[in-house]
Amino acid sequence: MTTPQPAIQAKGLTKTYKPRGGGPVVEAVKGIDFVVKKGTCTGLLGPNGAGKSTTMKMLMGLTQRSGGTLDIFGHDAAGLSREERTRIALVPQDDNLDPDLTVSENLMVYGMLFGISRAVLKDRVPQILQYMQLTEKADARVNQLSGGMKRRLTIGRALVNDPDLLFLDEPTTGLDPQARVMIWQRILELKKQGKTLLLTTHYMDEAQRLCDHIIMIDHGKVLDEGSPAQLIDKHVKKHVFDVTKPIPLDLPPVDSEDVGDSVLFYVEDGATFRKKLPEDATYLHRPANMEDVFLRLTGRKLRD
Amino acid sequence: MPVLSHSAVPLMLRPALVVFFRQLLCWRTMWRQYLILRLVEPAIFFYGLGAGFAMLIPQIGGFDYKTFLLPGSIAMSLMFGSLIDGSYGAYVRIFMQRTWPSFLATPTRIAHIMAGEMAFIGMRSVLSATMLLLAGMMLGAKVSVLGFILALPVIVLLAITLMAVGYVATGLARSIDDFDFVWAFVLTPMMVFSGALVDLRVYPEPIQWLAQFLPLTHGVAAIRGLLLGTIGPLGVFGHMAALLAILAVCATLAHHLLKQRLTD
Repeated sequence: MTTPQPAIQAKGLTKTYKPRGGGPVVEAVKGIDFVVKKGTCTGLLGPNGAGKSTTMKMLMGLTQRSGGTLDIFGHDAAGLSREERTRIALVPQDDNLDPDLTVSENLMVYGMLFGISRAVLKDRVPQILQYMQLTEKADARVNQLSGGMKRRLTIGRALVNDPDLLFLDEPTTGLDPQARVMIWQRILELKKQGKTLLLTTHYMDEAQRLCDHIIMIDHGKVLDEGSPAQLIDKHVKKHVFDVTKPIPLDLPPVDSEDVGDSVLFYVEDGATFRKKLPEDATYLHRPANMEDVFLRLTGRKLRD
Repeated sequence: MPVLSHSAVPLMLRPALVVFFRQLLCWRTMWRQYLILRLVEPAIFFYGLGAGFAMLIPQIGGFDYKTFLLPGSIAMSLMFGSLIDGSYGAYVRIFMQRTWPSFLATPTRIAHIMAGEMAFIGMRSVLSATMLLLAGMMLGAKVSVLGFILALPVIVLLAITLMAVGYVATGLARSIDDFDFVWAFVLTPMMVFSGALVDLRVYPEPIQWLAQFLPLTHGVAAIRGLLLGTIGPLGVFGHMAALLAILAVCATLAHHLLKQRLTD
């Protein structure tokens, strides 16, 4: 039995480049391996400068890799055929909607660039506008839209070619909670339709909610990967006690981390640990989440 | 996935056609403004200079100055329209609005976008040149309409070539202020040394020789020759060949530079 072909497979992927102003060669990606299985939502997480965007660019064929292999649908990502490229779509980090066109023209032109006929688009464009709740704005110019509407249009634009593989680069950055929830629903629906999604985000709640599989990268290397539950189990246990200093002296020796004003204790059995805390201790007890994993794996030091 | 209905268009050219369509959609809201500006500006220039110098230059190569000047004015107006769209306009579309990068996330490649935008500029320049021709004739220039029709391929080729020159500047520009160099080193020399305003032969030979590398020189020579009936087919083909050579060099260089900038 052979396993089904993954949507994306990277082996020993590297990217080095010379900075424009001169100086030493920068290694943005230092030999990473990962697999994105078909029909899953995979999260590519890491701090700023970890190598996420460079990896996304290599996947989109917008920058050449320096070494290793990178396959999409079993073919080299740098040399995809026209047909294969029509099965992929990108939601970029920064909005690059066409300000010279109306909302529906944006979708129309984009669809035509994918080779879809105007007859098909005449039906599809209103459907997408409705799906992204933009019908009333069909004839508005892009600069008349709010930030949330622009993001919805950018996501709608990426759906115009009905892609099998969708890259979402920080799809909800800067949005209000209502817009985020709406976009999360759409992303989960896309997953249900069997599409493969690759997502980057700095919101760990988003990653935990949407992703089946998470790849943590930092300094151009994969730190760890697994399902959100697996990663939480492995790195931080089930419960977190955020105990304000001064720390009681006779606590059991568990995994802990000093974060300044308080100490985080990661424990498997919350009830037992709570009994050990003195009556007057100030603490916050919560389930462990991806944010704890992220900070444990990548450290708390600020990045550029 | 259904394919584009106009199956007569080869697959390779379809994205370029869509880019052309996109330019047309943008233009739909501003074509009046464009045509009025492209008419009024060169017409003022043509009238002012024509009337002014007609006093000093009664005859130039057997023609009155206005008649001599009109083809040059047409070529110069194409230069401003095309070069500015290839430089400022393209810079905005690539680096500020990021329209090109958004297209590159589809099967569209840089060459498609360049081809589509150049085709649009070619079409637009036919319209603006026709308007200026009519205005010039009303202001007293005696040129051949048949000659103008024969000059249309030159007009399109000149516009596309100048757009390619603009693309090279865009490929090199690090900020929009860098286009000041285009004014100093490309637009002004072309305006002065292409023979658009005066006979090129008044300048020393080295300048005449250097002027042969300016696309506008060949555009002016061919368009003027056709409008005044002073050039044979061989002369026209010679100038078109020179324009094609400049176009090939600039388009290739611009493609290389822009590809480096956009897929880095």
